Amino acid sequence: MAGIGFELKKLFDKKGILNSVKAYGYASVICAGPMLLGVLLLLGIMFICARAGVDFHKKELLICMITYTLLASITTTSVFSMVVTRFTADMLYEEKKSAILPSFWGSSAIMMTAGSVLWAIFLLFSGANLMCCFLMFIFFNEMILVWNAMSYLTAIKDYKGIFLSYLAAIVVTFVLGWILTFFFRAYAIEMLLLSITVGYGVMVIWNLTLLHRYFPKSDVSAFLFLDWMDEYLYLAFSGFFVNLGMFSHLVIMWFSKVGVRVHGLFYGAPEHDVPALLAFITTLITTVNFVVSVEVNFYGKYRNHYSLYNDKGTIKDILQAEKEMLDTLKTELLYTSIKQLLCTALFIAAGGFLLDVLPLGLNEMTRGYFRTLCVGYGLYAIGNMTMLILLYFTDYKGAFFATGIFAAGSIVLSLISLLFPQVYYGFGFLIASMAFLIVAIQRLDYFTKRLPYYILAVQPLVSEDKSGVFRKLKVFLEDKLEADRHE
Amino acid sequence: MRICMVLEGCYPYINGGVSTWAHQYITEMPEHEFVLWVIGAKAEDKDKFVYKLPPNVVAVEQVFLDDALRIHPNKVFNHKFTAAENEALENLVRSSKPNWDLLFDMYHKKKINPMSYLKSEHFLKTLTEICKEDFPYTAFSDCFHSVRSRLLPVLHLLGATIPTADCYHAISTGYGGLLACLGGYINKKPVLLTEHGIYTREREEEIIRAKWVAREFKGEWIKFFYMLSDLIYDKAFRVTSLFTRAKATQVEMGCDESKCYVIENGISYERFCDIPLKEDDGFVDIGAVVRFAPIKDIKTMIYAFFELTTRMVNVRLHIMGGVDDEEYAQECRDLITTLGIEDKVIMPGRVNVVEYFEKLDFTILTSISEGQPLSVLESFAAGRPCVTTEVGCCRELLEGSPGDTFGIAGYCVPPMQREKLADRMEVMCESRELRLKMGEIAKKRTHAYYRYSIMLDKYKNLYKEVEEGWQV
Repeated sequence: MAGIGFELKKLFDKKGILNSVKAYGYASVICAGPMLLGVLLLLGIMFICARAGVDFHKKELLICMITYTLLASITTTSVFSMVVTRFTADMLYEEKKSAILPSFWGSSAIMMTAGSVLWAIFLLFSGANLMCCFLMFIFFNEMILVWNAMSYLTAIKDYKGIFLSYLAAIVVTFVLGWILTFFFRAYAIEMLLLSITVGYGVMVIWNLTLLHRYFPKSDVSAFLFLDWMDEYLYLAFSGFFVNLGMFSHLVIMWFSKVGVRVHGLFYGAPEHDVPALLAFITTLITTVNFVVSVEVNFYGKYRNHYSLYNDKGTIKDILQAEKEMLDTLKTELLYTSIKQLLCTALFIAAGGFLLDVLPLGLNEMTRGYFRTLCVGYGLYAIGNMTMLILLYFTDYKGAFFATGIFAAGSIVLSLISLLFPQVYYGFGFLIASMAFLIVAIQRLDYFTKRLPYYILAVQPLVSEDKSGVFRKLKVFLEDKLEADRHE
Repeated sequence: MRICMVLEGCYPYINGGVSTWAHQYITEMPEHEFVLWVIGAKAEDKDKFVYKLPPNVVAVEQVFLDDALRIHPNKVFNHKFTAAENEALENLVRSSKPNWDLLFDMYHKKKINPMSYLKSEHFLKTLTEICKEDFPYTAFSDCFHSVRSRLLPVLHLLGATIPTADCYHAISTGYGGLLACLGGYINKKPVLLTEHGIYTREREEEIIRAKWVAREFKGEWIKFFYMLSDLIYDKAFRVTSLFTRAKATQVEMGCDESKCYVIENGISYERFCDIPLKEDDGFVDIGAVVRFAPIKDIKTMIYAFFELTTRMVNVRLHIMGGVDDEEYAQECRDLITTLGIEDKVIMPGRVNVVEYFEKLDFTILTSISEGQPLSVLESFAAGRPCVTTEVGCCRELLEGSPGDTFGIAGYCVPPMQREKLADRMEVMCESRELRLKMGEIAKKRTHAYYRYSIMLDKYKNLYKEVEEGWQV
């Protein structure tokens, strides 16, 4: 009958599309690399200083400068790191490889611009001499490129390339540092900063070469990824919070009774900083374990399970795959935790010896911090791994809450710990890490019990446009670029 | 009496058979007030009426299916479902006779948010259990999305604002029928159904052809529309159809025969009955009052006419009507050129049919699908017999329904068979005497059964019956 009814297809041709689920948890794992590199760098610098006979004050100042730059740059990049990782994974999945390289430069440009302004203001009032300021400024921007490149390089999983670039940076820094301090002992700080700048410069060039080799140049908007910022704001915050939780306690300790003002705005707390750096190394256990065991064993089951949703799996297939996946996950998390626990215990035992060997000049208080922080970082490592699993399940909200509690806990409890005797200083971080772990595990348990619900039911029936402040920034930047081009 | 007429996707938004019917129907019943309760596909069509509404339309309540997609789920969804409610929902998902009264209560009176429900764990659990039992070999997420997009508009409609009226008269089953039943239930008023075609069958055909439904879900979608027709066949006080065979189909689909009436559509006989017969000018002029649309199968008409021209010389074909589908119209024009019959096929476009009939000897209709074609009745009223395809109630029109002894007013052939069509056209062309005789029968039949006034009287009686006979 003419006229009656209407074509249904116009209404329902869009089914709620399951977003491209991609494993991208690697980012923070790989970022642990440069972080450890930083630790190694600091220890190496201390060693060189000791060998070259650099005076104590200068050594302290140099370490402060390096630490400040590392922390400032990683805090800046942590805002974008998770989101650009997701963006890269999505673009690879959608076979839009050409959108990737522009976004690297776009995100780097935004971070370098914003970060440089803040960093320059700090340097201006820091009390460091002009040469040091200049080198730290360069170092800061190099680090932004390095951290940011990590997010992209993890997507192509070229671990060998990444590792070699680390190695190059270390070798160049140490060899150059050794030679330069030998010849220009009076300018040890400047020379060592210069070596670091050159060393990391090599790493930057290496990484950029890798990026340009894998990703094609193109005219795609450099700020496309800002749409992802609006979409995955929770993810952006998670990255930032982890960072805040991991390092804020260090900064707080600089202003505690164990803290010292080294020079100008450069503060430090050697009695606390050094054991913290050493304890941080223990997280490597879980990090490595995550990549070589959890991810490998779990990812296959995970992919199988998700692909059943996308590729016509029946309800029974799905439930079976879900069970297998969760069983594997449980086993892997348990084993990794046990390994971390054992290694932490071992490290604590061996740590006493290690602290004696290193030319650090430590006391009993330091040993106490070391033990506390080893436990703290151990708990953090497992908590962080659990949080990464939440990200695999796209539970960004859960990750947001867990990391938020970690960050807030680390700050607030560290501040509270200042009211207690000095021996309790590390406990703020320890308790925060424990809270992080507990919340992450609880959330994972809650979430995995309702997987089909989160995968299917909460999906909107039509795609929703989440546009916000970052979309506006994108439009602004694109217009700017366009205007420049016409001039 | 205030009648709420429930229309789906036609009047007053779109021109067409049912729209024309509804407009004239309301206009001719000034003694009743009408409320239009209309379902449109897209909210952007709101208030875009192509008809000037008659003065006795006192209100228009518009519902749009795509508004369902704009429903925001509640922040918290904590409705506790009773066992009976769960069962009703399960049956709804299965499209097997749910307890509609309960569903009306839940989604209309208790105002459960459809979006919240469809995004809830509760819905997922219900579906999971059903899938385990009923669809163990079907892709689960496809099933999920399919069911969800099927239920959303239904649950959305259940929450619609109901206009007050003394009865709810649906002009189709499907979503329109659903609304009428909802209104009837909530306001405790009678429900009537008038079907111009068999809605569910039309939907079925559409779904079978449709590309937007995956093959494995076609059965489910068809079942879903059967469930909706089942609802109104069950709840309606009276169900009318246009012809005997349609009524039989309704009964076959589960409608209680005792409530089924046939009310034929009528035409204004007086406009056509005085049209003079065409003088014999050595030519036989065949007319087709038809829009250019694939469903009218004009290509078969052209082929059949071409076949006829190979047998007879003095024939002409007049295709009168607007263009629905420009691409199809062009294909038809190209076909005429290819066959080299441009000089014998006249296409005057939209014309005043009453005047044009003077030039015609008989008419043809080649549709693939029809309900009760008014063009055949108009041709009859003008005393022109007809050759038609056997669709809708064409045979009934040509040969008479049971109890009608006037005789045969034309020929019926199976759809899409050019040879048979040409054969019958040839028979018709060969004898002016035959045409005149059949034309006379056609005229008598139309006068006896298919006058507009007869139709109106029957509907008026129906409303009277509702007033007198219906009880809660």
